[in-house]
Amino acid sequence: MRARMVAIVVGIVAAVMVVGAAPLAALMPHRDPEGVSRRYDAVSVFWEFSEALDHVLAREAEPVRAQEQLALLANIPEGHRDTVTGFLSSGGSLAELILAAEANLDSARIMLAQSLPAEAQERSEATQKRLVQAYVELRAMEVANEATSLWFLMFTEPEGSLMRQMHAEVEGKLAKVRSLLDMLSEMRQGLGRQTEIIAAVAEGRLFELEEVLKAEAAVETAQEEVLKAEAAVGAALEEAAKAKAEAETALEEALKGKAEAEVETARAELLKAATMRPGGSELMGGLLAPTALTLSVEPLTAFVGDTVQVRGLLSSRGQPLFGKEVTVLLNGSPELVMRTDRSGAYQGELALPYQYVSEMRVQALYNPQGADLGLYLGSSSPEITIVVLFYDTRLTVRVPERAYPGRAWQLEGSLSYGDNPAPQGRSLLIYWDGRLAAGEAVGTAFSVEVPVAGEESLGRHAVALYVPAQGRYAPARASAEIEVVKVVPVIQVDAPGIVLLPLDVNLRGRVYSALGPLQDASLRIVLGDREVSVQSQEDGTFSARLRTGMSLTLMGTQELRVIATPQEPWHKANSLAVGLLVINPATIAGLVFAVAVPVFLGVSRFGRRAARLPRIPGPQPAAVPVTVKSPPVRPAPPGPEPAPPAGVERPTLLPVPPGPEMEEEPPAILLALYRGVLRLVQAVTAILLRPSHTLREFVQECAPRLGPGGDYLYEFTLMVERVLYSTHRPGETEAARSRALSQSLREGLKDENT
Amino acid sequence: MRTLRLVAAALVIVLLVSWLSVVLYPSVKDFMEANPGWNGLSDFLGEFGAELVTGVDQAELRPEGSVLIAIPYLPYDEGELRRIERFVHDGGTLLLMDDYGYGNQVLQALGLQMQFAGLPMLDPYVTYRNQWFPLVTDLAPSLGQPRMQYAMLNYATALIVLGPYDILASSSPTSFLDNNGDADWNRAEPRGPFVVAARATLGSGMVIAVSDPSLIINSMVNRADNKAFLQQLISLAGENPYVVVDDSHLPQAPLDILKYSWQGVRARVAVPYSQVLLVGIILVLTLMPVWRKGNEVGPR
Repeated sequence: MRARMVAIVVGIVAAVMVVGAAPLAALMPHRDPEGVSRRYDAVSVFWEFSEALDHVLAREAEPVRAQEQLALLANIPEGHRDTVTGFLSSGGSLAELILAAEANLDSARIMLAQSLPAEAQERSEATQKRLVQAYVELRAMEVANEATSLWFLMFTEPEGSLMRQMHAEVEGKLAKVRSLLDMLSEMRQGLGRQTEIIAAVAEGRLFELEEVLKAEAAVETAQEEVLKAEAAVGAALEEAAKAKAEAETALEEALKGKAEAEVETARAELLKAATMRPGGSELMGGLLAPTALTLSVEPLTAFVGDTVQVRGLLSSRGQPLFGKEVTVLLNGSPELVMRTDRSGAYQGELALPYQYVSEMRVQALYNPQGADLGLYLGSSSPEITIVVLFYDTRLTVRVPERAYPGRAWQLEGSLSYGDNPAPQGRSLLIYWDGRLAAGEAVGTAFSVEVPVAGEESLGRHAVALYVPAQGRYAPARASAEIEVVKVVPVIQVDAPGIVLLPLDVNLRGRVYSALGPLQDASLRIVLGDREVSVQSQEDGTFSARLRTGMSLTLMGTQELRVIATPQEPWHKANSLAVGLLVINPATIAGLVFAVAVPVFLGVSRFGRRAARLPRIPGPQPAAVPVTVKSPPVRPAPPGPEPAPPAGVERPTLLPVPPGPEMEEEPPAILLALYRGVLRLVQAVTAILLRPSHTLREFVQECAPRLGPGGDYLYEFTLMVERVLYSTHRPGETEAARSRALSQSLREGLKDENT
Repeated sequence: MRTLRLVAAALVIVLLVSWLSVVLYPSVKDFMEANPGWNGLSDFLGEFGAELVTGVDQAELRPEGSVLIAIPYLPYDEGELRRIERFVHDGGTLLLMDDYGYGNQVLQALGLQMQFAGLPMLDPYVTYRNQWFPLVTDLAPSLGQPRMQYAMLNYATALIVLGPYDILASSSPTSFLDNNGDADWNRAEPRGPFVVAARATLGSGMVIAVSDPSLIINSMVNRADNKAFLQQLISLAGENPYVVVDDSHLPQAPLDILKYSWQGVRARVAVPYSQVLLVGIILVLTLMPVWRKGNEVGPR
């Protein structure tokens, strides 16, 4: 049973020790990477897509390539990784393709203008290839975007969720890219057709081309007008044909080995003849006529968000062109499409986006389409720069040099707008080391309380401020640094210069700092090995009573330390040490007493004994256990002492009170009894009362051998001393007590011997 | 008497079992040498030839060429901070790895204008498995290791660098500081990239601050290019530096304290004189009954 209990106890103790170690594992903020679950984030994927499209619209391929590389490491579902990297890969290619296509288009336009149809055709075909590829890449990106939304089950997300917002942002940018490609494609088509026309003219295939253009014109809504013009241009055709024939002849001769300059001149003449138009009518099947496009913007200076009026005229050889589409580009991206009216004019409103830049570029573009492809050359207006206005926001802040943990600080600042009107209020966001610390609506001048956590680390911290854009008011940013410190409090103590032990020490004091008094601060007051703890009041004052107690210290300097531990996190702990002179009068007096009194007593007793107690001469008898019979209670009358054996002197123990009338007096009774006791003790202990002994010393020497009787003897001795050395006269009570003590001693000694 | 013997026997058994537990039961505390688990330090110490020490004493012997790795999860006192400062000024390299501890106390004592943000730095995109394990791909050329692709962090924070120091590594633009503690990015939370490692020169030495000490635990040191990253950081102190890890500011479980104490006892007993003394005591205790019996031989 016992063994079983021991085993159980051992088992429990061991288990507690082993198990007790386990809960103390891994309290640190990290986890085993192997045990963690996967979590994919759609918002970050759409964010990457959005960034990539920004770079595509800016025609920057490199950043998108870098994103593609990063996507190989990204936390994307493996089954979806190709989709994401595919999006980014397509984005990089798309940016390059757009750049190349635009360059080719520009080049083709130049070639065309220089009547170099072959070169223009080559550029046009290159552009076509690139645009086809670009559409493919764009389509791939659109598909990837949709696939991503399906993969992350976006349809289960609530409306307005961040995922939906980011997805919509990506879709909007994809639409913008598509719009850009469409515009480039139209431009390319136009140029391409025009190149064909020029080439056909140069190769004498005009009439074949005319048939092609006729067939194409049949699907246009302007067919009726074209047919009407056909008759009118019949005569012009004859004239043109005549001029063409002449020019063809000249070209043939030129092509037969004439100088290049003459070839060029002949080509130019041919082109001129081919593009001759009768006034006020369009030339069906005729050669390409140059067009002129004007643009005016009003106002040329506008605020962000405002609309500007764009208008212009499209004409060809002074004749207005009706029903033609004119595209207005804003910073290179198509923004507006308008149609010309009968006077060739177009107009519309262009809304300036909320982009806080100093200027924006506006340009109009005419790309011939349909039947116009064989008639007109495309054209663009000069670029017009709009000065963009916004209310520049200047944010100035004043931060204190220091802040304190647990104590909010005041951030003061102002928002200035120059001569511009100030808004009612603006949002101000304040970040503390990247953490949003405060945010509120502020006016032009503001003072915001910024909290600081009580456990904030000391040292320099970064403060960043951001005022988001608001309509015409541009955003603003500012930053500053602030140092977080703790204040060292001051401790004042009123302490006595001298401390007398073991008296209590009363102390008063105050703890405070530049930030105010320390409330409820814990104060430890230490003097030597004594201490007391108190708390400070609301006003920082404190009082304490330090109990010093007995000590062996006689006199000296001791350090009184006051250690203040504040409650407020902005205060530092501090301590104060004050030297105090400590005097211990009790110990000093005790020491004096301990030294002087024994000396005094020793001297006085020595003198007294010499007078009262005779010497005990001769050899001492051997200690023999004596059986003591219990004597009668009444004291033996103090009769004459029996004569000692010859040669042995019996010590006279105590003075014998004179006269028979003194026999019954308490002093005599007391002394007689004591004499008897002394005799007995000497016989029992074999220790004799020597002349050098005081009674007390004798008792102390005998006491260890008397057992409990020693206490009785001691008490009896004190009574006798009082009788002998003072004026005290014992009474009956003391006489009775002496009888009792004597009796107890005798009985006790008898028991010991048995 | 019988009861006394029983109690004595139980006590001996308890002590024996306790001692065996201390010796045999592995530590499970973070950054403990005796912990072979995922959060121990055994792999790092073995592979980098580093020593685990308590305090700056060992490194103070020769600051130049020494790297002191400090993970301040407990506060320092003034004396310790002064000794660290002296160590760095005399040419030592302090590799201060912290995320949510008392690293800012050390940085402030050294007068450096940078802070550990103390907020979780998460990256939901460029990360391992989930946003708590961001991958650091932006590594400074001064680290000099062209084949190093990325380091992997584990519940890290970021460094707010306010002074002209070398930025050694930064997180990706998709990283963010989780202000509201929901582990998801929202538009009010600042986005990266954030500094995760920076170097500051101080006196004859330098301080390298890294915003994640988890790089050196067993489960992390051989992940991604963490080992190469750590090697490069350490090699900034020179060729073959003397590397010590200071565990004096890592909280220890009672089991680990007892293990260390036992190691101390073993070290003392391993000395030849102690072994002789121990053998002597065992001999005396073993032979005492025999001697007693010998005394009792012969007629009374």
